[in-house]
Amino acid sequence: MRKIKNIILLILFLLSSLVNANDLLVSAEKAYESKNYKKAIESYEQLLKEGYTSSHLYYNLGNAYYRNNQLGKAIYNYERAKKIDPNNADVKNNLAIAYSKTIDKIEVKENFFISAVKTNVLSTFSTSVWAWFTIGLSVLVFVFLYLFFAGPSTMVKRLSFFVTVVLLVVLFVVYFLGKSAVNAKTENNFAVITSPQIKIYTEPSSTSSSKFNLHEGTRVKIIDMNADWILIKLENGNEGWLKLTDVGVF
Amino acid sequence: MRNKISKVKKAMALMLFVFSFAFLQAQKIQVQVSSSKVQVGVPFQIAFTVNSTPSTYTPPNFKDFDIYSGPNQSSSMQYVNGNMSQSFSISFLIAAKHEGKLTIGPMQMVVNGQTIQSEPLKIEAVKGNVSPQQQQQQSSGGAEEDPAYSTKVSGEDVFLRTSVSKTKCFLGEQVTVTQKVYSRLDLRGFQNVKFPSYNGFWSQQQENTNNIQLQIENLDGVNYYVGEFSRTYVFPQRTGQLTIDPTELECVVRKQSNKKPRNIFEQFFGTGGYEDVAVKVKSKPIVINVQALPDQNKPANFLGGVGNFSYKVEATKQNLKANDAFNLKITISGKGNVKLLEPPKLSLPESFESYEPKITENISNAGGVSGSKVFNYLIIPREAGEFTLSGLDFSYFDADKKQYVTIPSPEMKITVTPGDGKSDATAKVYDHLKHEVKETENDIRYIKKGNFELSKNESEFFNSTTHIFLLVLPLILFIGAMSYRYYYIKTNSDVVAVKGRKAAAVAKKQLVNAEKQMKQNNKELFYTEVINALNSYLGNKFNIAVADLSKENIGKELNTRLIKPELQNKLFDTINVCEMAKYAPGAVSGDLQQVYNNTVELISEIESELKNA
Repeated sequence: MRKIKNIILLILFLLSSLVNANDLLVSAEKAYESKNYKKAIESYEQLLKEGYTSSHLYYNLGNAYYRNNQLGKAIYNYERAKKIDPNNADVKNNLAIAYSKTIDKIEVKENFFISAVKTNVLSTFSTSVWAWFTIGLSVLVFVFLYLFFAGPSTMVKRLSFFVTVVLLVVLFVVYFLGKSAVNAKTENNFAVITSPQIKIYTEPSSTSSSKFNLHEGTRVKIIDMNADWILIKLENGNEGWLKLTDVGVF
Repeated sequence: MRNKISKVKKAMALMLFVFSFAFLQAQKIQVQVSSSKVQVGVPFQIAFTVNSTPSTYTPPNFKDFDIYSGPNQSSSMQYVNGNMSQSFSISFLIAAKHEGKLTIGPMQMVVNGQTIQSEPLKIEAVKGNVSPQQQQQQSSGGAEEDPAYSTKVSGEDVFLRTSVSKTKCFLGEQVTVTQKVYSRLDLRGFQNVKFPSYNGFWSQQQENTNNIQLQIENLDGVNYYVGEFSRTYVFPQRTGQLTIDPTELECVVRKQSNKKPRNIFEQFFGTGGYEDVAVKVKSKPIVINVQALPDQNKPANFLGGVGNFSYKVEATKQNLKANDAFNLKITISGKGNVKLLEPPKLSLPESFESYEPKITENISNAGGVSGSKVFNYLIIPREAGEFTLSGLDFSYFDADKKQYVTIPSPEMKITVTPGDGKSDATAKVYDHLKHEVKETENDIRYIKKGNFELSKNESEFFNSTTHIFLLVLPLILFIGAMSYRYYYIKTNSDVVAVKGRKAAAVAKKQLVNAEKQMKQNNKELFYTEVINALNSYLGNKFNIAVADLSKENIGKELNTRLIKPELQNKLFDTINVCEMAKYAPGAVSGDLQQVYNNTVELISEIESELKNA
């Protein structure tokens, strides 16, 4: 009985939060329109806290941070929006503008052609769609395999065998594409500095000597991570440790 | 050779000795003056003459006189009736320094080893029209020491003077810097010239002519030979006090040596006694006060030109197709800082693309810097239309009038007709410019509005248990399908068993026909159908051919399958009734419905009996 009560409460909570979510979205939009960027940030962050995600949500939050002169957080949210929707022109544009305002001028190497194509292909479908593709292909593989065994004529059997082999290959390819799409979505390979200025240390400890300084909005590649520290590498090859609290990881 | 010369010398000495003996008694210095009464400052000649050549002489102390020239030596020899007469005279050109009765001291000469003296001469000087400066110059110059006999060359004999055309000028205005050498001595040449660096100026030196024309210039009452050896035009590049550093050079002057003539020939021909002396001279630094150009009325299109210019704008084409190129040639010529002119900023229609201009200069330095600067712009109109190039006026600063001058340029009409659509090579050059335009977006785009889809951060479906189960499900279904197929094929492969299994169904179909006949009350046909149904059922069930269907065979089969005897009897009864009715229709008057029910019962009972067995 208690269990059922709990479940009912949970459902009620979820329903109420859904209503709440739309209200928050509208209030954030109004706050942004009236240039009350701090309030807009609060509302959007609240939505994120409640577990909502959306490319648009990150994008709007990024805009609010940008207008509130928090460049690091703006870039962090644009990057998160880009991760979900890599081909969104608005996100790309605003991200490029935000990066042009950063203090550290580190040359960002453009993706290689192949990886760019890969990103495009992977981001064409959501990971669930990739999953359903694999299921559909699996069904087709076994339908044709059955036809190979139980086909009414030799012609049908031969054709079915051929189709089965092709579909099996396609199934594997699609599965691995889906898997990399999942990896791309869930892996955190990059971080953006959200504090105005931070020191990069030689070891994961603030007592070690600092190698160089970085400023808000600089994008770094994560090489290693422990509880509070991440080892980063800059586009120009420099490496060092920095505190996890100073960055947004995406 | 040397021997020969010494022999000649000896012979000459002997001859002189003999002659001097002959005229020994006659040695006397005669003093001749052109006038015993002179004007102050007016030169006159005084000559001392002896009848023999003196070995040395000491000129009198011309304390109260200025020496203009001298000592000038002359000698002559005469033979009259076999007698030789000789005369040697030393003359000076002198002028009295002041009025009064002045005395010229005695002239001492050593003739044939004897020192002889002239009589002092009294001269009366009267007031003349002589400039006091000259007097002063002379008194400070060489009163104690005759300048002609000093190896030292004083700063007043040779000096270098740098002069500028103006010491106060505007930024960028031309200033002429002239370097002149002043000399009272014979100028032979210059060496080791060090020109100043002209810090803060843009300088342009006039080409040096190899021949320096010496002119005589009177400076503070003294006549100097003046040689202008360099002329530089400078344009100040900074405001404030700019200093022109001193120029240094060595002048080579020829002056009379105080060395005595080494021998008679040197004395005789006058070749000795002169030498070339290098004198280092240095000019004084000059400070030029540079004023900024006035801000008042400064035209917007002012390019930094100071001087006097003319201006011309030409276009190579005024009617052209889109994407064709034309040149806009802007020529600025005149006097002034031509070289420092900046390219004019074109304000072209938006669809016009232009390159950095190609700049050509033609500058000459003769008599001030002048020349022309040509800016050649390559321009490509991208769209068709009628365009007017305006705002190409040119402004410069006229330093003499101290005001800005603007030369307006006539409006230029450019007619662009639509291009042939083909993007030519030049169009491709401008692709990068288009790219820049695309990137001029410099503010972030607006937020996404409206209730867009929000998704809860759900767990990943890909590779979840559900996903894997659904992936594997077709395999399970496949295996199921395959095993069913296997079972189906296997069971269907036994025809007898299949027939047996289907016997009841077949019989039931035939019984349906029997039921039809029953309803129509066709007794004969009804019984035939029933017997057929029973026969086919038994035949199929026990795999007996219709021809072999006898009561014995059927009984045997039923017994082996352990069918109850009551059921067997019931079966045979039914068969008997049917056969009787078939072959003797009138004899049977039983209930059709009863028979039908019995038959159905029978078949189902046998089926259940067989299953239980």
